[in-house]
Amino acid sequence: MNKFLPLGAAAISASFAVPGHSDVGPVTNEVPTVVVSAARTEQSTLTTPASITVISRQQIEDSGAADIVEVLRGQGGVQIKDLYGDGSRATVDMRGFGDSASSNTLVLIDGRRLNNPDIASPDLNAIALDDVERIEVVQGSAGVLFGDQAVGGVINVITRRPGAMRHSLKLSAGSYNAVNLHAMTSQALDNGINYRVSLDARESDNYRDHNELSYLNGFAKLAYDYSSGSVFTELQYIDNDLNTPGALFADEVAEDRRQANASFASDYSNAKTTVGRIGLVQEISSNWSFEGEVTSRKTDGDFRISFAGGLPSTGNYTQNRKIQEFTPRFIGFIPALNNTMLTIGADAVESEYDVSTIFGDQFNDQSQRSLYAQALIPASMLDFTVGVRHARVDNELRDAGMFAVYPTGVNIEDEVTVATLGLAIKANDNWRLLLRADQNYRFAKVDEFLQPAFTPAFSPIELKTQEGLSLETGAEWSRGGNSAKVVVYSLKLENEVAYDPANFANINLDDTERKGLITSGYWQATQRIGFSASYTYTDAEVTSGFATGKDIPLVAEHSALLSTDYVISTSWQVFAEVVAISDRVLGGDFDNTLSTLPGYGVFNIKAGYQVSDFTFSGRINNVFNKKYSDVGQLGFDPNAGFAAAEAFYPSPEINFLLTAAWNFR
Amino acid sequence: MDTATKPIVTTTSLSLLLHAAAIAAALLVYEKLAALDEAVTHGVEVQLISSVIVSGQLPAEVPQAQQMKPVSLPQQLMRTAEKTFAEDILTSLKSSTAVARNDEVEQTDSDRDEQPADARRVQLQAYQDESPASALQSTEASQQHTILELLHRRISDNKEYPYLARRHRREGVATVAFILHPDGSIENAHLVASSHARALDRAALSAVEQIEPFDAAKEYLERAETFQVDIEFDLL
Repeated sequence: MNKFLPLGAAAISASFAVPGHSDVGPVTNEVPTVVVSAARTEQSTLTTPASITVISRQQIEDSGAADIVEVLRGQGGVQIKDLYGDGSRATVDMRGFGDSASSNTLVLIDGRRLNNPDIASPDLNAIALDDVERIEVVQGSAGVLFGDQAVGGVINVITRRPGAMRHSLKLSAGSYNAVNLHAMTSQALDNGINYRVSLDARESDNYRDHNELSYLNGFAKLAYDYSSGSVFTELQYIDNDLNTPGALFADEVAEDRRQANASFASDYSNAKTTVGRIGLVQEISSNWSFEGEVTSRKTDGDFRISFAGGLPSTGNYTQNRKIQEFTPRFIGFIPALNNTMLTIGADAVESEYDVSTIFGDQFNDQSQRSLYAQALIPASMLDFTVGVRHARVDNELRDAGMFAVYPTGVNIEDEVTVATLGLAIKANDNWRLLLRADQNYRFAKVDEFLQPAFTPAFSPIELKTQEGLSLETGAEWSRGGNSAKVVVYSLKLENEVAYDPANFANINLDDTERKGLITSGYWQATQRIGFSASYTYTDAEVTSGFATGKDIPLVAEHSALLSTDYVISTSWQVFAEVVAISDRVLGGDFDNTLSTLPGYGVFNIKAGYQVSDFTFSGRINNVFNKKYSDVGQLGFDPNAGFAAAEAFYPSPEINFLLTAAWNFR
Repeated sequence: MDTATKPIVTTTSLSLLLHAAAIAAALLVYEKLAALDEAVTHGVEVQLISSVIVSGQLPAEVPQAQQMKPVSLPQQLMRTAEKTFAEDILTSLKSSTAVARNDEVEQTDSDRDEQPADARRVQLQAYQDESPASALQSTEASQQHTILELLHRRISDNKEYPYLARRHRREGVATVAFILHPDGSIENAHLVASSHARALDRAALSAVEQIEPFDAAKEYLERAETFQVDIEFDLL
């Protein structure tokens, strides 16, 4: 029976009379479900006016990449340095830092810092790629929001959130006897409890001799969502063992590029890491919310490192690190101020770093404290951002042994204040313009203080805090499935901390400047085929003092990526990419005297086939079998009287990985 | 300095890029031709995609929420609603590549955004689906607007995914009931079922309360009626 009057149909209105005489109709009428959706990839969770490139789960799967390094390589503004071509010792470089990239690009997993208080690179394998929901690449410094080491940019990895019960099992096998296993189960229960447990194991002989890798990563997260918030706890254990073949001089590369110098025959680097974390999100009022995490990360490492021309090392050296973080913040809106969004937070990081080698022992503690606040003020067409952070560092350093710099211990403190100003103009539905000035800093790493200066004789260098200003402007366009963006920046630094291999010392460089251009775009040419392209121009040089006018080592002036994915049918998909990079000054060659590390272009392809719950894929890397080195550095050749010489880390030739995955409920 | 290496490498890289571009262009031409071929074979996209919905062949990937829930609606309303949803899905599929293929697209608050993650493949399936009989059904569907549709639209116009809920990745379905008077006023808007997230419940209530005054009510209602709506918050 109709209860409603059709528009203008008075003639049948009589039929609408309902028996009885209540004021309200007796039946509840159901309005069709209203769906409110937001893309997970919406940029709004990071409250920065920076240009952010989001790499989605779908893009990751389409590419057939085996690890985060393969996903990031060639992305606009990102340069990867992968020592062994397996991602196990890879560094992300944003804005052209070369040797010190790992201290100037911040890597986060769900907001947890992977960067270290010492110069060790963040472990990019700390999260299995299968557990990644998306990767956000934040172009440029974010000193106010993230503090220490957020200088060139931020890589923010977001893990997948449990939904309906889901399990997956993935097995890969490929070149160099590589075998990877990934198993995962996750579920969000109706009562608010959700969990994810995953296991990632990898064994490979790798391309080089004496480069065997064994990697195990176990992860478990348990969370409880309640009406006004959520709590979570997570535990992770990573066991990473690697034989390290070291670098090769040019004649060794010519002889056999896969070999390891006999001096390095017993070198290795093993580490066991445990991470524990608890977090809370609590709504305080309809406009304010609290977020906070307590994290503890502990790495126990042992290694052996030898020198070319010397005898293989026999001692087992140790390297232990313990980091505890507390990162609370309040986020809220002020309706009276045009819904200005405020983020007010504090970061406390306590680190211990001890290392013991034949040269002696180091015992370092570092404490960082910072307070920050940022306001995002929306106006009709633009968002205005202003923020400030104040940070303090307190180092307690002591070393022992023949090269000891501070045998009786030393306390080095410093503090720094940085600010940010940003403007995002939303010109229309398709265009967004960005203008940003962001100050950044990085405190000297604890072990950087302790590298002895050989000239003048053993005088300690008290490193200053590196400070900088990033100025950038960008334009972003998107319509339908297509998008394009361009970012132009200048990054000026004072007291850039760098390693001077000629003097075996860490130093503050005089002023440095980086200028560059980052462009990227995606074009959905047809329903089935899409193209992605990016090009990055980087001009990084020392502008005054030591090495004036010289290029920063290991920074490519040009890098480009062109990729395409083609959906052949509902079950078949192919992907292809070309990654190209121009030549670079060798690592450590601040004088720019050695020959350059040649540029290269590499072609990778992948084909995927999906049938019901199963996915099969094959990826071939370096299809044209290019012989190149991703990384090279200044070395001292024992066969040439320890003269400075080019040393290389040869990258893999053509190689493949076959994968079978089973996703089921 | 090993100056000889540099130009060779640069040339090779360039040649690689050019090869890639050539392959890409060839694929593109092939693809355009294939698309043209499909269009000729399968006729108008609208009918085909609608047919998938109406004939109940909605691929599993499409969120349940987008499927019609047949309640106590008159047959005519059902039809109309089906058509509307078919249109919605069509619209969403048309723009699906935006989200499925490029996640940097700025999202707008419209039904277009309610797309399955791998909508592109769904669309292909729709493309390949041949069921002219059911396509006919949908083209016959009435164009008439009904009060349920109007309410759906007005609530949709006011819907908002609260920033903090998005940030904290909260999802859920809130059911809101309210009394609508012929004069367009709303009374007793309240939660019938919680989304289990306070912020989403608030946003759902607010979306309903904001439709007041619902002027169209007088054209449809002789007296106050109770309505109920599920508001589903989804992160895609």
